[in-house]
Amino acid sequence: MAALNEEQNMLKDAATSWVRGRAPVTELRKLRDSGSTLGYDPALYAEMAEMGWTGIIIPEEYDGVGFGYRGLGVILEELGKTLTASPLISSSLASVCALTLGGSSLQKETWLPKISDGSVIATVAVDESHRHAPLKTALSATPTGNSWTLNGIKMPVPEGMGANFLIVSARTSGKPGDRDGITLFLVKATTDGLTRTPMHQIDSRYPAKFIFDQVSVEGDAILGDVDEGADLLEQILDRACAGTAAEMLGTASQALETTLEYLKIREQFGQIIGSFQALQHRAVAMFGEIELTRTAVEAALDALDDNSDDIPQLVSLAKIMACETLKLVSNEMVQMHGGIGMTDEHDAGLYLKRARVVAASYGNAAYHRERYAQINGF
Amino acid sequence: MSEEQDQNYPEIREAVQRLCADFPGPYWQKHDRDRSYPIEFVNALTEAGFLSVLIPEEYGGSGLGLRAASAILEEIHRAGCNGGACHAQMYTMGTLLRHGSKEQKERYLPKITTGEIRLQAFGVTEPTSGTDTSRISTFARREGDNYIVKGQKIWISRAEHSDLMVLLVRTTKRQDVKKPTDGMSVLLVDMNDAIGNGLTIQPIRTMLNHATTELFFDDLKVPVENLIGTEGNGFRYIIDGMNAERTLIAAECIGDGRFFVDRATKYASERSVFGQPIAKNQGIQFPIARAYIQISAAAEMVNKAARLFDEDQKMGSEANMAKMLASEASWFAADMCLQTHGGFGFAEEYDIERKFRETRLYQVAPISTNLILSHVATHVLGMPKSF
Ligand SMILES: Cc1cc2nc3c(=O)[nH]c(=O)nc-3n(C[C@H](O)[C@H](O)[C@H](O)COP(=O)(O)OP(=O)(O)OC[C@H]3O[C@@H](n4cnc5c(N)ncnc54)[C@H](O)[C@@H]3O)c2cc1C
Ligand SMILES: Cc1cc2nc3c(=O)[nH]c(=O)nc-3n(C[C@H](O)[C@H](O)[C@H](O)COP(=O)(O)OP(=O)(O)OC[C@H]3O[C@@H](n4cnc5c(N)ncnc54)[C@H](O)[C@@H]3O)c2cc1C
Repeated sequence: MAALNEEQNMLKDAATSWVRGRAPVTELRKLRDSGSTLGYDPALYAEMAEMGWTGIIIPEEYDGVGFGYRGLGVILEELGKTLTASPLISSSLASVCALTLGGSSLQKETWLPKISDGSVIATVAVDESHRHAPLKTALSATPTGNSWTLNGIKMPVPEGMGANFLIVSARTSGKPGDRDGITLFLVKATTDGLTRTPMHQIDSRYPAKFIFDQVSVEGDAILGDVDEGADLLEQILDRACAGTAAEMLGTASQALETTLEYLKIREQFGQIIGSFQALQHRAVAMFGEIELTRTAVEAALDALDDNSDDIPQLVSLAKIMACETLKLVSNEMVQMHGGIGMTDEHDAGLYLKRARVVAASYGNAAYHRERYAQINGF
Repeated sequence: MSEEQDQNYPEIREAVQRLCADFPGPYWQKHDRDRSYPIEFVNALTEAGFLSVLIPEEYGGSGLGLRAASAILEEIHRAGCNGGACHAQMYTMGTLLRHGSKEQKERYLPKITTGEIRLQAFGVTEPTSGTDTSRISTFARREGDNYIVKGQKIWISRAEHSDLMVLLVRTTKRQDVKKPTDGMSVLLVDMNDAIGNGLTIQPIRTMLNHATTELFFDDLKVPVENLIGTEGNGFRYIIDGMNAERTLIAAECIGDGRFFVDRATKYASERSVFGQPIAKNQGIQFPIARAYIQISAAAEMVNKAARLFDEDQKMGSEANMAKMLASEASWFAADMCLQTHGGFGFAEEYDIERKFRETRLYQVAPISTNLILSHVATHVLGMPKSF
């Protein structure tokens, strides 16, 4: 692990102890069994906001703490360890970036302080089917005088059930698949003509399906420039993706940790199963993959903090590594636990299900491989 | 090992094992070092009649079929020998047998049976059209009673050790036919006449001892009577030969795989490190067990492909699947065996590194893995062709 600075170390310590004390995996079970379709626990989120985590990358002038992407990554990694459900990535990472990179000063002044204190939750609505394909945006926005009318569908929108407003990618010209002609809009969830329904996911989260039926917004709802939103969108998604990879790194390390604990206590054939070479070697292989993933995730977060030229490559690389590693480790977690790993009572299944879902969010490994190849001209 | 119980042709297998015992490691090591042709081994197989099992009895062969041929090649490879020097003598004549004229068959097949004539060169691949056979450009132009052949072939194995070669050429250009596979023809080339009279052979050194070559045709005359079947239909004639070839190559991989498993099991049980046989480690015994399982599974597919061939049923997909499964299983076994032997695996006298190099070929030739996947995706599963 590359060295953390003083602030990041503080964040890490705080996150580690809070997650252990307040958000163990039992919280996810409670959430699942509660019947709520919000997809996260608002009380836990309020505690995160109190600790300032919702404002980590928000500049101080908008009431944030400005600790950067690496700082937020440290927290997301800890949250990933216990599968904690929260809108931190959608709201305090993706939506914050949408505003800081593309928002007008009015938009920033209005929303950033509220995201920072946790009173408002935002999310970025890009996908329109189960396939992540930002440029395939088809939801239409047509101008009428000084306002725009939006029609179409967005799904699955992460944390959409709790969001107060959405950053929506819409098509203002061209056809789905075109890079030109995409525009980003800021739309309040309560706007007339906008309806949302929960989508039940295997990881106990509830993304939303939004239907836009003649939704009208003013011209000042636009972020960035008309028809030229694709670049901005890509920057937002890169940031969300890097954070997601950090969370996945945490999930993978804890899955290995829990498995190692079991290998050291479970006895079969008169000895602990951790003494069997076949299991030892596979555990070592997982450890190696996790360390590689850590390097890739840290490189992506550092590139964001340094605003370097190779952000897209490094982010895609980090997401690919995180997807592959978490898939391996979550599969092995079940396998190495034998029969008990199949039970609902054991956490292994929760890690496995979360691993599958999070792998698909903001583009799966195949999507990012294709993207990586294109960027590098393969 | 228990798989022996359900193996077919036990007498043939035993006879092959006895023959192979006369060609131990040092024999192969020497030929490998010199990149020379193992003629003594080829002669022994020929004399014992093992290379003519696919030739019907009316032409002097034993007509036993592809399952018998598979058993022979599997045993050769399991013994640490290599059939690559002559396996094509078994199946290349299939094109002649199934599509040649009565005169052609009577003229050549009896002598192929005895080995007097070696027909074990199969000229398809070209430098610019590898797998994409319909794009071959070697062209045979008709001039009176002759074809005049111009072009180039690459990777044509055993060309220097063949009296006849089955050669695929274009007789009509690709752009002038309806289907890209139309307009190709098969010629039987008399190598003894051809060399120096329009045909030049240039050996290619490879990572294994495989006698493969590059051929240059500069207005080579081939008599029209050496055309197999009708002009323009050649692609169809070579395809069923390819299915036999793929199945037999797969059988060689099964033999290789069993060689590696046998050797690894033996070595791991004898070699003692940290005061105990290394086979006691799961890190050693599990990969050997996995290799055995994979080889056993692939062997079933090879048997199935060979049986369907012998029953004259459609078996193109099975031949392909057998080749892929067997070549991947043998490669896994090869890697496992090298690793099990530690440093000794790299010493030539153990034969492991040689077999390792030899078995690697079969994921590329005679057809590479990706093309098999593509065949199954499109022809078995009905998905659109990707290229
Ligand atoms: C849904 C379900 C239905 C089942 N139905 C039945 C049933 O009807 N009847 C029945 O009797 N049982 C049943 N089982 C039990 C099942 O057979 C066992 O779960 C299985 O044999 C594994 O045993 P275990 O859970 O004790 O795992 P363990 O033996 O504790 O193994 C844990 C891990 O250690 C590994 N391991 C253990 N020993 C070694 C070793 N020596 N070397 C290397 N690795 C080792 C295992 O491969 C595994 O990955 C069922 C299980 C499930 C999940
Ligand atoms: C030792 C040796 C002996 C041989 N003996 C003979 C012989 O006797 N007679 C003969 O005619 N030929 C012979 N060959 C040639 C052999 O059949 C070819 O090498 C083989 O078919 C692959 O063709 P290529 O080498 O041109 O590879 P290419 O066709 O150039 O392929 C290169 C790589 O690209 C992949 N690829 C190609 N197209 C696609 C696609 N559409 N989708 C995905 N992947 C693709 C392939 O799988 C391969 O991995 C021999 C080759 C060797 C090495």
